[in-house]
Amino acid sequence: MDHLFLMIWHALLVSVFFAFLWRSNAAGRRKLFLKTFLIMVIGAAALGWLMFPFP
Amino acid sequence: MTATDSKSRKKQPSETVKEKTAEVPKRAPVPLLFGSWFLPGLGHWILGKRKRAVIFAVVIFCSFVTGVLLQGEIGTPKPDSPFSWLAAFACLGNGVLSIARLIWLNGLGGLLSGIPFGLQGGGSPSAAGFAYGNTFLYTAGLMNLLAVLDVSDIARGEKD
Repeated sequence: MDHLFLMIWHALLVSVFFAFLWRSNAAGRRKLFLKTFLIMVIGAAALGWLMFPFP
Repeated sequence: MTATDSKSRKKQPSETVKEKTAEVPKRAPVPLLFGSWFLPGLGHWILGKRKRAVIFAVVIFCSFVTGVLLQGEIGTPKPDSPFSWLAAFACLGNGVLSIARLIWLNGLGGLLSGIPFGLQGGGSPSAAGFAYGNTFLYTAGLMNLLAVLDVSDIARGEKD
């Protein structure tokens, strides 16, 4: 089981869902999808690195 | 005040608001909301939002199946755990997917006789993907509940 793959898969599903829920045009959906997807993936990776010093 | 005066009188802001609220139905049809919950995407499909319906159905189905494959547990109420009700609520949001999984695990008789505390939610707490599976299952259910709220907004004319 690849943890990174699962995180990306989850981020992908949720981002697609909210892009279609909150935006009604293609450009807006693309923009929101990219924004939420990147925030979730990069944010989770960054948080993971930040948690290294903690036991 | 003459009739001409009353006709030429400007509408008060409160009257305009009343007219606008009168145009918007107060409630969306209950069968539509039920159908939207029961089968993810059905509500949007009925309202003519076909693309959105297909996307929602695929996303929710994929999330649910991933959760099951990772050996996640369908949330069921447990007598000593108040938070289990929240998990049950989230999982029940999956509609027919959740019900089918519970029937698969408990049988139809077991499902009916096991409500609320005798239900088996499946999954394996010792599996590596248990927590991830639960997350996918909860997410799928909550996304479907948000889709039901979206159907309500569209049906009431508050959203395209």
